[in-house]
Amino acid sequence: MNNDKKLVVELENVTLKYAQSTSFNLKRFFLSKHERKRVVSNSNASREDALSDVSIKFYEGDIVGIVGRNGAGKSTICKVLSGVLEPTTGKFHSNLGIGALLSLKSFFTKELSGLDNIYLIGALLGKNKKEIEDKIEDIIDFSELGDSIHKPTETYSSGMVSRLAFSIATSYRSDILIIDEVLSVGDKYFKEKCNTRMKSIMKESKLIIIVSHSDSDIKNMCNRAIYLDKGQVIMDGSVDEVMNKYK
Amino acid sequence: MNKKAISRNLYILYTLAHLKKKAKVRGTLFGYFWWIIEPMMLIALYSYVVGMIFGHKGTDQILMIAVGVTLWKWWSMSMSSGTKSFRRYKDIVCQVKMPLPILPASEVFGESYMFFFAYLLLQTALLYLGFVPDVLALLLSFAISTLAVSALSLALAMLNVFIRDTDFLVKFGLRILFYITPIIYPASRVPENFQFLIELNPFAYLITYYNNALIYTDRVEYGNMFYALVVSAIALFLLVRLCKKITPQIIRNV
Repeated sequence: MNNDKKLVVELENVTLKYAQSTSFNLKRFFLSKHERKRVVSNSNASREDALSDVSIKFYEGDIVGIVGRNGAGKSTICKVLSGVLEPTTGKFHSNLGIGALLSLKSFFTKELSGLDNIYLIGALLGKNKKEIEDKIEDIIDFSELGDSIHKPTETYSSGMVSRLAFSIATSYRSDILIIDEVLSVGDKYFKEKCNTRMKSIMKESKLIIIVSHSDSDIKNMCNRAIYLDKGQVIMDGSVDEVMNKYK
Repeated sequence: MNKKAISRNLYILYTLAHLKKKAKVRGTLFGYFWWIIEPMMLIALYSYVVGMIFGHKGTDQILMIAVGVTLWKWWSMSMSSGTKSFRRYKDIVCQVKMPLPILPASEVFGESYMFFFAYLLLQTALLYLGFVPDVLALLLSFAISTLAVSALSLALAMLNVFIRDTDFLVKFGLRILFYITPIIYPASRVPENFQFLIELNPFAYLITYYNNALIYTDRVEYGNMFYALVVSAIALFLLVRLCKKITPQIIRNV
């Protein structure tokens, strides 16, 4: 598939092992060997590989939806794509300027105003002051926060936070856009506005990765889907095929 | 690291430091004046305790306390917030590709803001009283303390990821260090049997560098200061390398 398109990002036999969990505590120290095994097997540490021999090619113009159950490796693959984590084995090639954008809402510093958070997130996404200031008006307009943008985000409703997160996410554009569950944004009216915005940025970004649990988000926006389970690619293909398999 | 990456990292450092300080005074009655009020209140409190209660008189004594208390606030706040920095910015640690030492460094940088305002007040008072600083010694003292405190904050931040008791221990440790560092008393008052506490305490040296640069300019020893500068720079360099090496473990454990 996609043979006529330009290859922009490639994961080649990527395996990512969890770094060993090495927090020290007395409870663990005093547990019997049997208890320790039981605790470890009940925790995430029992699975050795967060990603196991994953090979995916991403082409220019792809809007890829990544689906899978909790713990399937969706966020981990985003971290590899954004360069935060390096594969333990295998290769990761990218011809694109990576714009890290994962769970944006979690970057918000609650005691800062919405405006300050725009600066902070812009800086973290690699933008300089001018690039940030060029987008501020657009972000505030789109999020419809008005004067509330000067209030601390701890006073925002969850809908306001989501709107701001989405506006920031889609205003600071990079060649590659990685969206991890930023799409659940408020009421029906705003959701439609988001869909329109997404359609416009789809034309501009070279590659978009969307992680979502929402079938409709994936079906509406993506032209390709990948189903992950236990760190492995179960299926990579058209949205309909993958979503049928995922169900 | 290329020029663009350096400028991006410096901008992150500045933004984190500046916005955090801004958030601290948001909604308060005095706003940014707290950057000046806070150290003045501390100086007044310790001067009262030492001057009135313990009866130690002399302008030198009060000035040394003022210098020491202002510096200690800078260092202790930097280290206590630096220790928590990786865990406080957990989402950034796990999701943004950036050199992790920026996070504890931003705490040190942010506290340097506060120190700078307090220092301006202090320097004005010193000049008024006729104490002209040794500028080179002062710049060296500032460079040494920034490097040393950044290195310690980074070490504590890494330790706190793997041993979460570090944060509690740092709180007690800083309180103990405050009393065993000659801040509210001169080093000469420490009994001979306990002088080793001063000799082994790097903060005692840092306080002495500042006291010499600001008050006793004839006692400045550049040789010692250059040595301290090199040691602090090497320590910070090695810790930054270590942090880079164990970044996957930090992301996993934070």
